[in-house]
Amino acid sequence: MPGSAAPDHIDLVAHALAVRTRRGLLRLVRDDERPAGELAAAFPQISRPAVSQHLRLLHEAGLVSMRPSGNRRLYRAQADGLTEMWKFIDGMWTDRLTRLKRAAERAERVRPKRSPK
Amino acid sequence: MSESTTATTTIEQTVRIAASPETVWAFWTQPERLAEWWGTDAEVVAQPGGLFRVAMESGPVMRGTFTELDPPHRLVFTFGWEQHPPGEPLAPGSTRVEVTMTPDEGETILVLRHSEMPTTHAGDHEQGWTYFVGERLVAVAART
Repeated sequence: MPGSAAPDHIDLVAHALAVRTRRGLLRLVRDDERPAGELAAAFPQISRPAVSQHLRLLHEAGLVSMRPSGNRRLYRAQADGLTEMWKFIDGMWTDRLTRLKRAAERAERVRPKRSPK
Repeated sequence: MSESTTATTTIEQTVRIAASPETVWAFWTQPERLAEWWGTDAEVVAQPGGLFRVAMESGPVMRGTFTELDPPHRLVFTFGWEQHPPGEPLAPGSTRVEVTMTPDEGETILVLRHSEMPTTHAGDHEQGWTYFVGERLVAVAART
């Protein structure tokens, strides 16, 4: 089970979900495929290029799919978005439990609770 | 999310640690110890119903509540990402983590199980959340 998700990908997903606007975009495309223009219009306080950049990051993280249609780009939440989330969680635990093991073993060596034998 | 709530996901990981369960326990319940392996900042109220909050350096903040503590053998807490709108898969309270620490020849076998909350558990709660999310969607759309 170790290494089921590459650290790079974990970072990508974490980064993608860390920003409120991106989570908002993800929510808007959860049930319906929507063109980038419509998504940008839902966030009037954010510039179009910035919205495009957010969508690009979501796409790179595998959280949304994108397909061109004419001169538009249509976005939709990946059907396996949940799977992605769980892959992220799984990878996070693999990574963190390895760190926990190292830290706890280091602490035990510094101040052993009981004699080794 | 309505289609996906029927399937329940569980992650299980086991790690052997050359330290006593008491030592490992401290790494789950003391903020300065948590900062050594999980996040950059932690808030812990180690009692049933107590807050459990860990900020990860990559951005997300885990927010949960302890539901069971049996030091130094077992702890259970709810797990979600802070600021995730209610109704989303990883909103606070939407998943559950169970950690058991079993002594074995002076070491500890740690088993972690992370699973979705049973759908029935959400009950009325779920309704309220969905409504709230719906409202926010409308609010966003109305500004166009």
